[in-house]
Amino acid sequence: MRTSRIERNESGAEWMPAAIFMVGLLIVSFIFVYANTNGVKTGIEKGDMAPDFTALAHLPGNDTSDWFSYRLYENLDFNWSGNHSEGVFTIIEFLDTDCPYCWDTAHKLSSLDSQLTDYGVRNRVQFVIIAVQLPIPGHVSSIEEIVAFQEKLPHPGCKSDGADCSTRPGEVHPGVYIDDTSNEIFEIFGPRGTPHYMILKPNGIVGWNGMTDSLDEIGIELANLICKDGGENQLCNEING
Amino acid sequence: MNEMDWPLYLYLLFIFSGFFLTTPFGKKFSSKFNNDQSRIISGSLILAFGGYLVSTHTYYIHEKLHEVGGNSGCSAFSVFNCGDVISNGSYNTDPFFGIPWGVLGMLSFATMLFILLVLRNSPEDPKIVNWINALFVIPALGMLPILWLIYVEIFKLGVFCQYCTAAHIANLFLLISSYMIYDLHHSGSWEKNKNSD
Repeated sequence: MRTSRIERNESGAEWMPAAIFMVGLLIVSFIFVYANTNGVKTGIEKGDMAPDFTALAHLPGNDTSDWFSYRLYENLDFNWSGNHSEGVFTIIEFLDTDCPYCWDTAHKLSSLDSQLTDYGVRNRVQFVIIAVQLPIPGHVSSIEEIVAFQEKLPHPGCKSDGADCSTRPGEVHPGVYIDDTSNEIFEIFGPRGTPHYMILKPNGIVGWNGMTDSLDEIGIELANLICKDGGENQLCNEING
Repeated sequence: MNEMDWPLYLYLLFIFSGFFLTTPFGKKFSSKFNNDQSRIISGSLILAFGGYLVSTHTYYIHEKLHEVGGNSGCSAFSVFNCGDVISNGSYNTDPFFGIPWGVLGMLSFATMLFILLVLRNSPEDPKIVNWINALFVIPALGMLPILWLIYVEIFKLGVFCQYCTAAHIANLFLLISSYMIYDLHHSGSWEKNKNSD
């Protein structure tokens, strides 16, 4: 019977001790980093940290040319306790003044605004509407058109020049309108299209990514977030029984 | 840079003292080593370890910046600002797999450390030339993303991350020292006995 014997190659490199040392060093290093940090992924999915941006913003009632610099992270509370019964939640909507779906659902924000007022929790929510200009033929926006869409002012350019902005469904939109006709913020956030709705917790973590909100859930989701830890207001009393 | 940067000074001490040992100036310490080969490899080991440490710190900063409300922890001293560089989502990871640059640095320096340990422990290996070539190729390839990152820092961001720059210097020094090892082998001066004088 033939037998074979595996012999140790004495002239080979002694790489095993070095490999063990290096793998050990890498493991220790990664454990050290993970043990001393608590990083959150940046993105728009639930649990992600919403990306930061700085852009020009317009408040309803201000002059059409009165725009100011707005930074998202300066309007968040990074020291938020995590208690949902306190802090200000942020509703973000990406819209295009020429997008017919944005036009048709434009009543949603003003209706939400009035409901929040009725329930006495209007001060728990801020609105940030990011006006983009999608690269679609006929979608040509302007500062005047954005302000007209926000405040329902007379302007013939909304809905791809198909409607006067003053006839838009809903009331004057609450919160700030952000000029993103360059689509820079749109590309950083990366929504699939418009309209796109999100709710951020007070510290900027995405609490709900509603995309087009085709099921009309934004009000329910916002109420569930605000009242998750209870709260002494009419809304939370109704939600939590 | 401020008092918060003391780890950086430690890493730079490793990097520069290691490189110093590999250069002809390091011959002053020849008595501590069996031969030039041992001196250059030992210096490169110290240098690579410094590069590994600074890369790990860079990755640590990367993760810190991704905490909720995280800030850089680095100085905001004029042109040196790790926060502006490492927090920039467009440039803080490799463009193909999205791996943080700090992790790539760690893996790269760890591989070079591994090869240097093999060279130090097994100079008699008949396939040693493969290890030597690999040691030279890794920092050479590393220069490509480094040059791109320097371009980004100068022309896109206008600020430098001092920790990233230290890692870049370590890689450049390792490229030079690995060439010294390559040259030593190809000139026929390679000592196969690690204890020979």
